[in-house]
This record gives sequence, structure tokens and C-alpha cells, in this order.
Amino acid sequence: MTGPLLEVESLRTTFVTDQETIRAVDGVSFSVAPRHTLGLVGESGSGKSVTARSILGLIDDPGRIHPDSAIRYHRPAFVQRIAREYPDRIRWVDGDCDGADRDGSHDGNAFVTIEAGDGEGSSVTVDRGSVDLVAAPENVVQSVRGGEIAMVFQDALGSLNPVYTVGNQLGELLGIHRGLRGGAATEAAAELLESVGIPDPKRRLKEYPHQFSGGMQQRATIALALACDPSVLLCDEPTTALDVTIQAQILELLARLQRERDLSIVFITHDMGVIARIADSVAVMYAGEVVERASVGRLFDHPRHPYTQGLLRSIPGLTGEVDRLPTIEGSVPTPNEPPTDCRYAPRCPKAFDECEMVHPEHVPAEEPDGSEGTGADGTDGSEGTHVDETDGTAERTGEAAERSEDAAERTGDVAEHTVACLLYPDAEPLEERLRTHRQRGDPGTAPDAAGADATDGNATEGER
Amino acid sequence: MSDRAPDGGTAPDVADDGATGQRGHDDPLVVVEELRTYYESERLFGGDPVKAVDGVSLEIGRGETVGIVGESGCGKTTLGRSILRLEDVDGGRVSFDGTDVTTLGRRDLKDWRRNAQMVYQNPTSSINERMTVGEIVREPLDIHDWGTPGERRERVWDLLDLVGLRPEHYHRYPHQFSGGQRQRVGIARALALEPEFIVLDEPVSALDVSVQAKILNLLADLQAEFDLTYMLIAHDLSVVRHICDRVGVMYLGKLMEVGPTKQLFESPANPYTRSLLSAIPQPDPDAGADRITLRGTPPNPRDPPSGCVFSTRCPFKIRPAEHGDLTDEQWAAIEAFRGVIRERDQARVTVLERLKARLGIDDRFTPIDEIASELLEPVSFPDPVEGMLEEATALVADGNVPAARDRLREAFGGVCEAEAPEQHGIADGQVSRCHRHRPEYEEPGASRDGSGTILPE
Repeated sequence: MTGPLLEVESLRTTFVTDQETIRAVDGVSFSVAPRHTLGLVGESGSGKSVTARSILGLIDDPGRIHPDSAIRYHRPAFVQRIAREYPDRIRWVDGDCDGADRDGSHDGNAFVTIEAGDGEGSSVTVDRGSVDLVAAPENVVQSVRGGEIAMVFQDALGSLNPVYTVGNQLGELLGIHRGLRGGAATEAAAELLESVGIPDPKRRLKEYPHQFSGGMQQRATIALALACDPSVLLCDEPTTALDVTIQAQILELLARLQRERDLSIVFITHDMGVIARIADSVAVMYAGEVVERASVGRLFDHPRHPYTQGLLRSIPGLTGEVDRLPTIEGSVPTPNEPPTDCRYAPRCPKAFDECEMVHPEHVPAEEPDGSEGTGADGTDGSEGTHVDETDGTAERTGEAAERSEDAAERTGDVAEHTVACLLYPDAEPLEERLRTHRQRGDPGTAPDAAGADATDGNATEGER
Repeated sequence: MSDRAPDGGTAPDVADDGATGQRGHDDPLVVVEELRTYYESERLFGGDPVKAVDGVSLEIGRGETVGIVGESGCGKTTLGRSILRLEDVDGGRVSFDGTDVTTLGRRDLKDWRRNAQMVYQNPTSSINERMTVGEIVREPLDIHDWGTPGERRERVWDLLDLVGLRPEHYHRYPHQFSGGQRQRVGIARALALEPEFIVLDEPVSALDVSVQAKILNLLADLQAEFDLTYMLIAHDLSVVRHICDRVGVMYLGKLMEVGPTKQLFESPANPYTRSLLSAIPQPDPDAGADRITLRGTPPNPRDPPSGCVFSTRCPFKIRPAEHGDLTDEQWAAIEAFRGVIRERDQARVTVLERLKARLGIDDRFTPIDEIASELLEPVSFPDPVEGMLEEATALVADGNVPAARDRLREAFGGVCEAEAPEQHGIADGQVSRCHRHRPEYEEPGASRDGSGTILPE
């Protein structure tokens, strides 16, 4: 399977209260390729966790996901099963369009898209397609949860039930999702615990969560997440509460499980060190938006967005012998208006007047030698972090040579480097750059007016 | 930290001495000798005490910043609290500027506490939500009858300004503040009585990276301005590296290694320090092929390993000479098997469970021969070793877990599990506890490539 396994496009999750509307996630797009790890990084309040919860439909009132958002899940077997269940809600598209015709997806109430397949009704077969989890009915989302996409939370003890044994909780899951009972369920549960590196699993099954150490609890929650054999694992700061030595064990465990089970992982953290260790590609989030996307090697070698640069600089230890740690002034704002400016501008050391007036869009970041970044001219609607595997490798050979071969192998085919900042593309003069960003922000409006009357629609368009 | 303060607030000689680690010994402000803090040692019968701090000796020089690092549960916070006498100590001495603090009476202790303050880890739970920020910072002044009420208010305003808060924050409540601002309130409160010595208990670990940097810079500025002495407790080694002159590494109540920061980070002597350093995720995707991943968690402090406390997880453990021919793979299998037996010895079995097992209804444990076959069978052992393992398996099967544990320790424990290691001087100001520093053994890392491959995950 080529192309992404999970694709998030223009995701917008808002929380509406009496006083204000908080745009916790505001037009986030990324994609995760099969067997790859995407790192989502940012300070607290940047919308990382809400993004993950949105994917699983775990947003409670007063939160809601904007209907224009799309979360597309691509595993063919799953798409086929859903397509057979909902034959009247299928939309066929020509494979060449690759879902670019976004408006088409709102024809009627179709939420299953088939790009390559055969047959119809209950005998339809799907080779390539997707299910849109935003438009899908609740029971489809429910069947995705756990079975297709599972989540590991930061607070391991909090996500285990204190009054049931670990074996009980695993058994319950196995019973509901895989129909296992009694001895078979116990066997399967013990195997799961063993696969996450818990020794003497049969004894552990009969213990309560509080009898586990912090690292063991996190292993147990990973076992719970894996119980239904998902393809995507969303990890929301799973190691933040742990000691470094235990964190190293958990990261190693996740890497092993990814290899053994062909998992795709979305790893949320604020720790750049963890990102460097586990991620293939990275999306840096700030105030509900993704401000920079790149392969992990590119991001650390050539961070482009001033925010990413600041984030990397403020890590103690990395800067070596300096008098003071460089800091980023201020804190993450709470976004409650549609973006008409750069949300980072008030804290940005490189901000200029126009930053307050034009909302920056994703543009390809340039290669260090000045040539334009790979792929994406921004109009094909699939400007995610994925690229076609063969394409990607070919295009990045020059850059791979810069890094060690090991890293190139890990990260070679995952991401094109894009950045949402008015400083880029930096080969162009300022006027030209502003025009580029305005046009991308709203192709229909004259450049001069674009900044002034940005509407919801613009924000949606912007991420594409 | 003192030697890196930008505005030259401290004398140049401080900087030089701090860098070599000798500073603490020339002009110590705090001297800790063989400090012991045990919990539950007052029980009438049964139960060993938890040795949270077990024979720690440390000197902290005037104007110096000493870092204490270790995993959670290693006793670093207890050490900090014991030095300030917030815990009752069971042995040893803490002298502050020549006075023995451990023997102070109530009145003297209260007086002394003006000089020694603490900043706590959790900025949400360590300040009273029902008091305004002004009241919180003023509280120590009130308690110690500092000046007139008017002077106290002035002082609080000065303090708020000092830590980067605004005067109007005086009347606000903590819930209106962010984590970083709350931590500033905690720092202002600690500074109120102009102490000489502050214990910083994980002051930034609850904060975002960008906020961390600001608080660390603030602490550095304050140290330069008031010639403060810090003891910084942290689990984040990168924070320690940035801010400390010297660092002590703790494991299970013992100080495993102490040394000047640069030296400790660049050439760590103790196996535990090496493992801890290699576990830090480096913000560099190309780094880290030769990583040591420690298996397991720190052992239960109620039942610490015999000999060296780190022996159950040590990647550089000395193997007994009579088993010198065993391969890494064989050792890994033996250690994993011993780990299971050790855990089993500690697991409490209720009467009901015992009854069920006796009646054969339900056994909480996997039968030991099943575990033995799983862990040991894929590897083949020389006959004498095989025999010992079988003997131990039989003992466990008979229900005599402690005996099996002892038998295995005798056979495979070696010097690391027989004797507690002495402290060895490594280099200028750097000391480490490890048997490998003895002349008859190879230094940690010399014999192996440091990849830690003998250890199962």
C-alpha cells in the first residue's frame, strides 16, 4: 500500500462557551504513512491532544469538529467492510484525482470514498479508498476506535480502572472486540502482557493497577491499546510522567511493536529529544495550527520557522556552554478568532509589520543550497507530510547524502518540508512573498483584500 | 551556575573553583555526613525500614550549585528535606556554617530556617489557593515577625518585582496564574527572608521547555545577585548540566557518584551514571547508536539488593570468575530468571490465594517450570550451571522461593552482590561507588562495548 494510512485535512475543533469560541485546533493537516511515526510537537495549549482526541471522535460537549474537516482512514480491508455495510454512501472517484476534488465528498451524505475497486452492493471490493471519520456515523467511528486506531494516554494510572485487575480489563476488551472468553481470553491477555515486556504475565494479570510501577502501568495501557490489533497508535505524551530510564524502555518497546505489528504511530510530546528518537517526520504545532512540517532530520538540521528555531534553542544542554538559555517571550495565546495574522508574531524575534496583517500559509521550505523544497506546489490538495514512497526517495537523494546513512534510511521517504511563515519562500522579495501567502490563503480574493476579510472559509482553504 | 552568571555578580575566584569541583571543600556552607533517613523504622516488630537516605555524605560550598539527580524513588527529595530538617533523620549530621542542624531545638530551628528555604516541585499544590499572591509571599515574613506591616508590604512588592511579577499581582489569587508564574511566586516566597541556602526540589519539571528556560535564567540571576547557595534536585539531567557546578547521582538512597558537572557528564565513572546519561533522549536524530537501556525498575527499597544497590540492573556487573566462560546471551537468560524469582519472593500472597493454590483451584503464579522452560530453554548451559538452575527451579516448585533466591545469588552474584562497594576517588573532586574501580577489575565500559546487549529489555 502506498500513500498515507491516516490523513487529517483542515481539522478544526472548536469549544463553544457562553463567553467565547476557542479554536483549539484550527486547520491542521498532516498524514501518516504506513509503518511510520509522526511526531506532533508543541508547548502545552498548542492543541496537540485535542488533535489526537478529534481523530478518535473523543471530543465532548461543548467541543465540536467542524464539518468541513476531514479525517480519512485508508486501510483497504476496513474501507471495504464499511463500504459493504453502507453501499448507498459510497462515492467513487477517479484514482487520478486522489481525493483532490474535496467539494465532491459532500455530495449527498457519502463518507466512503473508493478510488480503486470493483463490484457494488455487498460484494464491493476496495483496493484503494478511505473512510471519512468526521462524516461517518457514530457506530463506524466506534468500530475504528480500538480496532483500527487506538490511543495511549499520558496518565497511565488514570486510564486503568483501579477496582479491576489488569487481567480483568484486558479480558473485557478481548471479549467485546474479539469474542474471546474464559481460558482463551486469559491466554491472549497473558500473551499481550508478555509482548509489552511484562515478565511473569500470568501473575500480573491477577494484580491491580496500583501494584504496577509507573513504567509497568504504561506498558499495561499499551497492551490494552494493542488488544484489538490496531493499525494506528496515537500516543499522547506516554512517557512524560516517567523517568528517563523508564522512558527509554517505553520508546524502545514502541519501536519494537511498530516493527512487529506494522504500526503507524502518531506520537505527541513536547520533548524534542523524544521526537528525535522516535519520529520519522514531525509536525510542529502552535496555537492550534501546524507551523512547520518536515522529516525529522530536516527539522533538526534546518529548522525554518522562528518558533521551531526558538523551541530547539531553549532546550538546556543542547546549546552547550552559554551564559543564559535563550527563551521565547510570552506564552501560547488561546486562539478564539479566525486567523488573520501570524499567531506567533507577538513572540517572534523576526516579526515585521506585515506579520500582523497576513496569515501565513504553508509554503515549501527551501533546500539549504537554495533550490526549492521537494514536491508540492500547494494546489493539489494533498500537500501533507506524505509523499509517494518512490518519488520521495528519488527527490531526497541530495539531502540524504548530508545526513548519516542510518538516519537517511529512517527518514528518507516521509516528508516534504513546508513552513507557514511570511519569511518564506525566502528567495522571493517581501512583496512577492506576501502575495504568495495571500493567494494561498484565499485564491479567490484580490491580494490586497485577502488579509482584511478572511473568513472561516479562508482558514479551511489555507491548509490545502 | 555561579560561574556562568552574565553580569559578573560573583567574584572570579568562585568561577574557577566551581569549575574544578574543589570549591565545596575549601569553604563549605553545608556539610552532610553519613546522613540516614529511614521510614517506618519505629515499628515495633516486623518489616524492614525503607532506607530512603542511607549514608549520604556531601559538601556544598558557599555560592555553589550542587545538583542531585536520580530516578523517582531514589531518595533525592528526602535528602533535600532531611537537610532542611523537614524530616526526622535517623543518623548522621548536617552542619550549616559550622552549626550542627540535626540537634537544634525548636526555637533555634525556627531561627535557622530563615537561612535555609525550599522551592517545591509542584507549583499548584505547594501554594495555598485561598490566599492572594501577596499573602503567600508575606507569610514567612509574618511568621518570623519581620519588620513592621508596612515594611513587609514593601518587601513583598520588591520580591514580586525581583522574580518578574507585577505589583498588581499582589491581590490576585494563584488560580489566575500560569504554571511558570506560580513557580515565580514560590521562588519569591523562598527568598522573602533572605536565605543563604535554597533547596530547589524539581523547580522546573512541571513546566514547558520555554518556561523552564526562563525560570532557570531567573534562578541564575538571583544567585548572582544575592550570592545564594543552591541544592537543585532534578530528574532532568539536561537541566542539571546547565545550571550546576557539581552533581551527585543517587540510587536507592545512596550517592553513587559525585563530581564536577562537566567531568561527570563527559567521563562518567559509575555504571549507573553512564546508564542514566545514555537514557536522555538527545535532540539530535542521528545520535545514539551506543545506548544503554536499563532493564526493569529500581528495586523495592524495602528489600534492597545485597551488596551494591545497583547490582540487579547493572550492565557492567562483575561476573564471578568461575562462570567466566558464559556468553552474554546465557547471562541475560540467568538474570531474567533471577528477576522473576526475586519478584516472586516479594509478592505478597494472601491466605485465600494460598488456599486456592493448595486446593489446585486457581494458582496466581505461572508454574515455575513453565517460566524456566520459556526463559532458559532457548539457551544451552554448561552442565554445572544447568544443574544449579534446575536445583533453584525445584526449590521454587517446592514453595521455597527465598532459598532458591539465595542459592542463585551464591552461584551467580559475584562480588557485586556480596559486598557494598566503597567510594573510590576517580579524578579531581570526582568520587564513585563501584567495585569496578578496584585495581583487580576492569573499569566500567573497558571490558564491554557499552551496548548493554546482555540485558533483555
